[in-house]
Amino acid sequence: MKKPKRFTFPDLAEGIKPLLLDWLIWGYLAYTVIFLLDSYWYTQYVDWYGSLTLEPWGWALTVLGTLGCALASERFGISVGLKTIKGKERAPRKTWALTNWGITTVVLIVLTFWVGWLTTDMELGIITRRASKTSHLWYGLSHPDFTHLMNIDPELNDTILGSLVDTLFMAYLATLLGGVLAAPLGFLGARNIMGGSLFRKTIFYVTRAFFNVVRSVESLLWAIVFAIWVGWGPAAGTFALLIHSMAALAKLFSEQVESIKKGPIEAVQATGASFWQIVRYGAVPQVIPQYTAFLLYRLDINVRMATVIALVGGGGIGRFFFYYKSQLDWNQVGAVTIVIATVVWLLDYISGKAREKIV
Amino acid sequence: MAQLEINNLSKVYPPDVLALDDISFEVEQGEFLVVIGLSGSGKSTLLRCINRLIEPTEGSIKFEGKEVTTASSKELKAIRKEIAMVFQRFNLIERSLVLTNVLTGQLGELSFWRSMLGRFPEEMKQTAHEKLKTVGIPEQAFKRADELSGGQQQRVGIARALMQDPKLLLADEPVSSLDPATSGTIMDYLAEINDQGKTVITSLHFLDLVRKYGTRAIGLKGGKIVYDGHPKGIDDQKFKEVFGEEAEKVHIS
Repeated sequence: MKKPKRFTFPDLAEGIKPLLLDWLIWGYLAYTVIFLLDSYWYTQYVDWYGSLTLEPWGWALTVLGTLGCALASERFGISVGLKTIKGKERAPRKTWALTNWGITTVVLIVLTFWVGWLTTDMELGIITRRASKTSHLWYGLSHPDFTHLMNIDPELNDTILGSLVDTLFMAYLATLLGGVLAAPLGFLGARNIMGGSLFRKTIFYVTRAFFNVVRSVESLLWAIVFAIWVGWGPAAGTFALLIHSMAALAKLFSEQVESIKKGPIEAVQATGASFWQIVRYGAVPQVIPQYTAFLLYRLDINVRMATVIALVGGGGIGRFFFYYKSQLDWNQVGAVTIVIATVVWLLDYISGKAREKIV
Repeated sequence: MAQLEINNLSKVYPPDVLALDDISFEVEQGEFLVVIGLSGSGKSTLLRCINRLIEPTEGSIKFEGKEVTTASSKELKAIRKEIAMVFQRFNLIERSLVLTNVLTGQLGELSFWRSMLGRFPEEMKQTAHEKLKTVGIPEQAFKRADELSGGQQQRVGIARALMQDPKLLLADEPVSSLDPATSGTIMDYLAEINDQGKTVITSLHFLDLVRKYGTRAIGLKGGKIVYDGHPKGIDDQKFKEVFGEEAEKVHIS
């Protein structure tokens, strides 16, 4: 007698990752479809059923259903997971929808756009419909009031130009100190330099983790932290920009260090040079131009960030902007905006030109 | 005692590529040894094992009686000072001055702080200028290394090697990136260095260069030595053994 064929999951032999990816994709498809059904037909009355709604147990059903879809797609050779992770299709017959990159990509992009449009309450008509509300704003911006450009505003105890100088110094200090701290971190966080012994690898991972975590917190959030820590004012803003600059630059630097050519390193090594001599003569000359370019670029970013960091107590020219805005004094807001825009544009231009020369 | 003794040297690249397979030979001081073989036959690996730019997997390398494979990092630096190296792609620090490139040959002699600050002693700079004169490009000292032509860059590479005043010079395909005329000049410099009693070990592709300059040739195939003897001894039969049947005509070019 023939043994009944046992039901197996041969595809699990390929590892769990492709299955998880498939599940994720099917789950995402289900999510978007349910979202759209919910948003368009939730209140629709269906004759024979009543109000169409997803029962609480429906979620469990969806989760299981998508798992089933994932398993089925592996079985029938339309698994995106297998194709992506293992680089193969189980049954290389005709390319079918889900394994066809183009179709899958377009479907996912369109569905995501649709869901995103509904989630963010996007509506194009609103732009023209409410345009009249901004008229006083445009009027203020086009009739700037430069009274406090060089005269002290008693409310803020400073002039616009004076606080602009603060802002520029904040950005400058943050960039310089951040750059100085980032340079060694860039080397410690470079895989090619810190490979080899377990000790070096540990340092590499700790450094990487450190600047990835610090970098993922925006300067504006750091400013909140430092406004509490060191008190409101330019110092808080400088610290905030500094720590974020350091982490962001360290990341860029380490990638630069990882892309250096091995040849010169070998050559310096072959002369009997020490570790630090190899770094100084083999690696540093290769990264200096990029380092400088990154620093200039960062200065650019920091000046821009420094103008808004006042929102959370970071000091600088932003104080005037947010103060006048809160007073609905649009003419003065206009003046501050023009000053900020001019400086940002100038710096952008200069640092761009300088970077062209360096790299 | 030979200057360089290599015994049962093997190199395995993970996971399982056997680049050198149980190689043994000795090199006497003053020899001009040419290593020949196809790409991937293990020439570069062999040369780089001698100064441990690549860690050998097994075997022993003795340079002037000192074991290289087990040397501590301090001992290794001392050994590397005696062994200079010239590379196929020149391996200059491209954005630095030619003079600085030559001076790096003396890094082993320089104190930590002096080298970090780039303050080379005056007499060291003088020597560097002399070495550039030796290789015929004294006027290029203050140019950036990447402004030079390939042939000139290789001369800087040789000047850097000379700066070490080495007992042994390793040259890893020193002329493979150069045109034939320039190749001749570079090989002449190597021969000159050899005439001063320094040992030269080089890997080459062209048999006419091997015959012209080498005092001894070693043929590598699949990480094994298939020929060891005078270059003139490589007849058509031997040549096929080293380079394989398909590479029959290579030596004509």
